[in-house]
Amino acid sequence: MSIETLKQQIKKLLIEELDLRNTSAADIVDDAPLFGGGLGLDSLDALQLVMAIEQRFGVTVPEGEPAKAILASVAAIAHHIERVKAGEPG
Amino acid sequence: MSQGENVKSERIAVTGVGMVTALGPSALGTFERLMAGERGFSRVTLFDVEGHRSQIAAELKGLKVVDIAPPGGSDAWSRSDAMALLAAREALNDAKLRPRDKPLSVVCGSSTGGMFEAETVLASMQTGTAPEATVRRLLSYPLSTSIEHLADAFAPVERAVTVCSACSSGAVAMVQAAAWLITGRAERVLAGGTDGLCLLTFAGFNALSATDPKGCRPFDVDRAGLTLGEGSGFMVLELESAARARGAEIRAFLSGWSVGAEAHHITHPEPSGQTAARLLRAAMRHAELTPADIDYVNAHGTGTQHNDATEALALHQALGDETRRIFVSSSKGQIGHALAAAGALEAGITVMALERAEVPPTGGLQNPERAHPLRHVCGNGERASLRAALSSSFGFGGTGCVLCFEHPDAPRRGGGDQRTSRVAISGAVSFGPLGARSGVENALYAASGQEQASAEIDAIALLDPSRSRRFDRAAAFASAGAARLLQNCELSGAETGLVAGTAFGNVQRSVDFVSRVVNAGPKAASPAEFPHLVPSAPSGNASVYAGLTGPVVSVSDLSTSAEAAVAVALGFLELGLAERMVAGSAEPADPIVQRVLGPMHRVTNPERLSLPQTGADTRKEGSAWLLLEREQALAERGAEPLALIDAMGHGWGETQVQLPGVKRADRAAVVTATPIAERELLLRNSSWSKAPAHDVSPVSGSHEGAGGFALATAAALIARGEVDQVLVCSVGRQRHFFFHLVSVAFAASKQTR
Repeated sequence: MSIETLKQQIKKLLIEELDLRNTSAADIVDDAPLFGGGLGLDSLDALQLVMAIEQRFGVTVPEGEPAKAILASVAAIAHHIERVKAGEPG
Repeated sequence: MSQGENVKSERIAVTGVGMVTALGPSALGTFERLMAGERGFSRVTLFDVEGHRSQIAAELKGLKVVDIAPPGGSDAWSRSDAMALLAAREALNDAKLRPRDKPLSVVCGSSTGGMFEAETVLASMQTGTAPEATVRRLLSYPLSTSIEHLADAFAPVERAVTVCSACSSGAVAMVQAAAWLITGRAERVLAGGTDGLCLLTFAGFNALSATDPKGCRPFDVDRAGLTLGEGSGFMVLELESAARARGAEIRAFLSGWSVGAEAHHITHPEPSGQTAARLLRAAMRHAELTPADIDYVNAHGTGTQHNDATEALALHQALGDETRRIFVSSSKGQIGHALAAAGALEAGITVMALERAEVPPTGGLQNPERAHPLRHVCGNGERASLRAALSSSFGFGGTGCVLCFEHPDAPRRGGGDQRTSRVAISGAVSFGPLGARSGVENALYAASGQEQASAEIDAIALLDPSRSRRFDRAAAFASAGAARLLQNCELSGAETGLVAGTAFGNVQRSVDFVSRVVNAGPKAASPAEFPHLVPSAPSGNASVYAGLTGPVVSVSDLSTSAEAAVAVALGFLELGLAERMVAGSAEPADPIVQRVLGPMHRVTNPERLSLPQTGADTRKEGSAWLLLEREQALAERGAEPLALIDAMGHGWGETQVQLPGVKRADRAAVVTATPIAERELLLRNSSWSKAPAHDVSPVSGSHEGAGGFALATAAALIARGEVDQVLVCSVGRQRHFFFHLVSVAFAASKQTR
C-alpha cells in the first residue's frame, strides 16, 4: 500500500470514527496538528483514535507521551503504521 | 397539590439507612468494615474479564436473585433489583415503620438496571431470534423495574419514580424525595439508588482508560483511575413532624442540597472546579451553614486524575481556610464506584459518620496529592464528633449533586414559610409526524384528519455538526428541543435545567457496543461510544449543547416517561433549584424497542407476554418538550405563558382522578395519549368524564413519549383560546399522572372567586 493510500484511509477513519460530519478528507491536511487545531478534537477522541487504529490497521499504539507524537497528524499516524508494519519498534 | 401553595419550612429527617455493598449486606456491616480500612475489590466473576485493562471490581459475591425475588418470579428480577430490595428493606426496618405509617413514596436512582441480565440476550438477538424463555430476561431491562418491584414489596405506595444522572443519580434521588416532602406531596419517602455490575459499564470505563488495574486510590499522587463497584443504598426520609409524631429515632437531618450541571463536556470535568464549588456552596447556603460549621466531606473521589484534581480544587474554593480542618474521605477506595448507587450509598455513609462520630478513611490512599491538600483519613477511620457534613456526587455530562446532612442535635434554623411561585408553561416544541412544531402549532395534534401525516425528522441535522458529534437521535432531539425553546424565548441556558424522559435508553447502540466486546474482545470497546449510550446521555448531551447549568437528569418511566420528566422538573422548580426547566422526552425509533421491549412493557401484566410477529410496525417515534418557568421569572422578563400548571397529580396503583380543588368549568377539555378504555377508567366518577376528549396518539404515534405531545397540545389549545382548562391524564403500568393546565385569565378569575 502506498503512503498516500494509507493517509487517505486514515482520513476516512478519522471522519468515521470521530464523527466529523462537516469535514471531508480533502479538508484534513497531512501535516496539520489533529489536536488543539481546527477539528476540535479532545482526549476522548484520542482514545477512540487509538482503538480504531489498533483495530483497523492491527498495530498497537503505546499509552502516554509516545501516543501524543504518534497522533500528532495524519502523516505521523501513517509513519507509525508503516514503521510497525516494517518490523521497526513503534 | 395545587401550585403556588406554601412549601414546608420543616426539616427533613433521616430515620432509616440500608446498604448492600461488596463489604457487606447491611449498613452497619459496611460501615464497620469501612472504618477498619477494608477494601472490597476482587477479580470479577460475573463475566469474562480477560483482556480488560482492569479485571477487578467491588462485586457482591453470593447474591442469589432467586432467593430474593418472589417464588417463580426471578426471571423478571435483575441483580440491581435484588440489591435494591435488600437495601430498601433494611432502611424500612431501621426506621421501624409500622403498617399505618404507609403509604410511602419511592424514588430510585439507576443507570444499569437489568443490563447484566439483558446483555447476552440482546447480543444473541443481533444474530437471530432468541427463544422466548431468554427474551423474558428483558422483563427486568428497564431502569424503572426496580421501583416496580419495590412498590410491590412495600405496597401500597403513593408514587414512584426513577431518576438517572449517571454517577450522581443516587444523590439526586434524595433531592427528588426532598421535593415531594417540602411541597407537601409526601410525608415519608424511601429514596436511594441501585446499580449492578455489567459488561457494558465494565468494558466502557476500561475503554476510557478510566480504571486502575491495582484498585482505585482516590486523591493519591499515583492514582490511576476508578474501580467499579455495585450495590444499593436506601434511606427513609420524612418530615421532622411526621418522624416525631411516630416517635421515630432521627439519625440525621438532610438540611441542604444542590443540583446543577457544568455544561462543559460529556466525560471531562470542567478543570477550574467552579461548578463543583458552586454546588458545594449552594448546598451549605440552603442549609444555612458556612464552612465553619462543616466537619466532614464524603467526596465523590473516584480516583481518576481529572476528578480528584478538580474536586480538591473545588473544595478549596468552597471551603476556604476551613479546608485545613475539615475531614475529607472517599468511600470509593473500599466499595468501588457503584455509579447510580454511589450517591445514595455515600449519603448513608455520611449519615452514619455523623451519628456514630466516626470518620471513614479513603481506602488505597498512601501518598496524598500535594496540590490543593486536604485533611485525609488514611488506613483506619478516626473518631471525631461531627456537626454537619457534605456528600458530593458528580457524573457524566457534568451533572453534580451535593447533599448536606446535620447531626440530629443540630439546632433548628430560621427558614420560615416560603411561597412557591406557580409554574407556567412558557414554550412547547415537538418533533414528530407533523414535523418540528413550536408553541400554538402543537394544537394540530388534537385535530382530526392528520392521521396520514408522517414527516420524518432528521434530528441530527437540526444541530451544529461540530458540537453534536456522536449524538444519537435521542440526544439530538433533547438538544434541539432545549436550544429551540430557549431561542424562542431569547434566553440563555444559565439557571436552566432539563429532565429528559427515556423509557429504555438507546438499546440498539448499547447492544452494538456489547456485541463488539463479546465478538471482538475488550480492545474493540469504543471509548467514545460508551458515554453516549448511558441512559443519561440525552440529558447530559443537551446540557453541554445548550449550555444548561441547572439540574440535568433523565427519567425512565415506561409509557409515562414524558409525564414523569415533567413531574420531576416541576418538583425541582418548586424547590427553587432553577429558574426554568426544559422537560419532555425523546423516543426515537429503535428496532429492539419496537419489536420486543415496547410491546413487552406496554402490557399491564407482563406474565401474559406475547411478542408481536415481525412486520407489526405500528410504533412511531417522537419527542416533545416544554419550557417550564416560575411564574415570577416569566413576569420579570415580561413574557406571557402558553398556559399555567394549576395542579399536578402523580400516583401509583389506584387509578382515578384525585385532584382536590380541580373543578371542571364550561370551556374544558381532556387531552391524553392514553387509550380510551384506560382513560375512562381513570376519569370515572369525575366531572371530567363528560368533557370533550382529544387523543393525540393517532397523530403523534403510540410510543413512550406520546404524553409529551399531549402536554404540548394541551398548552397550545389554551394559548389559542380554544379552552380555559385542560386535564392531561395518562395511565401506564401502575402509574398515572394528571396535569391541570389553565389559562392566565381562568387562573385570575379562580383567584377572585
